[in-house]
Amino acid sequence: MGSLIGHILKPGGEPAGEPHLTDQDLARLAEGRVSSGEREAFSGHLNRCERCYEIFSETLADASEDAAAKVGVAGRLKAWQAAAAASILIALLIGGGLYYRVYQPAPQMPTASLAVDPELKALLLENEDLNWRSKDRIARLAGLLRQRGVRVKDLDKVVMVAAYQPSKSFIAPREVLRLRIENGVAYLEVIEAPPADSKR
Amino acid sequence: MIAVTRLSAAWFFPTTFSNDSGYYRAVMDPKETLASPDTLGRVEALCRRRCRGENEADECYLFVLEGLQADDYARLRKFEGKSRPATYIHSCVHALISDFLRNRYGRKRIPGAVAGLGTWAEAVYEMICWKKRSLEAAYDLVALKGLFNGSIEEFYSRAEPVRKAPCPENPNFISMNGGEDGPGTEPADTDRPNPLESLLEKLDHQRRTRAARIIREVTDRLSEPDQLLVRLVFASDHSVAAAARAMGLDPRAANKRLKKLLTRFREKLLAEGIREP
Repeated sequence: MGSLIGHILKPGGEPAGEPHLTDQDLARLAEGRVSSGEREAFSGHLNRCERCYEIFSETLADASEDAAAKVGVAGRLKAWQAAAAASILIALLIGGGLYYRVYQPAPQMPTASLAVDPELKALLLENEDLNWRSKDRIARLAGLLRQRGVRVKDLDKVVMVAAYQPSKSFIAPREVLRLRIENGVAYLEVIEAPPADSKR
Repeated sequence: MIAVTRLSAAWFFPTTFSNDSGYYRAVMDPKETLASPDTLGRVEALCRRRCRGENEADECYLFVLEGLQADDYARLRKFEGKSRPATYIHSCVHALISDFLRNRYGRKRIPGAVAGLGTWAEAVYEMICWKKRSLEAAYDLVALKGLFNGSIEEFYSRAEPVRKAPCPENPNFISMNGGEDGPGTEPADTDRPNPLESLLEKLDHQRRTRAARIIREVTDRLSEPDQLLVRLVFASDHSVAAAARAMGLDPRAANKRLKKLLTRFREKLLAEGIREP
């Protein structure tokens, strides 16, 4: 550890009158599952509270170990996604090119695929509308997509390609949100990721 | 592999997944969770990592288990499914370990004669009695924290009562005067370069103390998230990837931001006449 810098910079004491962060808040922050407002508030507390900083630092170290163990899985899944995306694109070009030339303009924006995490899932399950009407809900989706690295400007509309039904499997397979953004309209579809390589 | 991953998580944290809940929300059996060998093993490993000595680790282990069982497993029942179960358990365990260590090494354990000398003396006592560091190391650290501004000779003279105060945790600590640090030294650095630490190590004591003040001042003027990022990476040696995840940044963006922040530190240090020898 940087012991000299650690002693200089690590928080000492506790901010008076301020409640400590909960176990759940610290766990969420360690996994990056907080909004930007929460991150600001949590950071402010951690920068001043020796106890919470210590707990968070230790939790982050262990969460990082767990995340590193899953990298192999994610790497293979991404390779599969890339291969699947390429296959779909080729199929569309060969089989769908004429249709799109005649009836639809080509998509302006690339497709993105994201793992459905708890925040996304909660947003998708708010109601069963296929065409989202709530501007607030649409804005929150745009915010979540930006947090996850998707370049998106303000969205005018969101359309679910199909109604989202969470998996009822006991094993709870991983779900992927596929989206296409075109002219300010986001088209969403949730699919199940296929089983990974059985060798591992 | 995804199925195996999910089952592995379930083994560590036996749960039943409710169909109408979020991805990680679960109806858990806390008793079963705490009884699982994997959970118990993990708790033990964390206590050994953070405590000094086997006896202390054993006491810590019991303290943590009692804390997790208290009020019908109230702490485990508070899990809201907003993170991975394992991360939540780590957070609970580390909170209990921190409470255990605070109870053990709290202020009331400092002898009155030491407390009467001031905060600097309490910090020295904590360093040489509890953390078994050398007196010279204690001087460096209290100077870095701005608690003591005098020369090392003055420090040795004024620290005499601290050295003579009783220390049940380390009866031999009076003999640890200068030289190498004794047992209980903090773990060695990782292989990750730490530019700020490297700079401080190369400076003499006087310039190191000034550099420490400057680094503290620059850090205090950063935004809260940037302060936390600097602390996590440079003070606590977390990887940039881990810190980036917590800060909601792409690792490349986090690296870029850290480089900009380092430039700010360097500029301020240079402006005060401190450069790497």
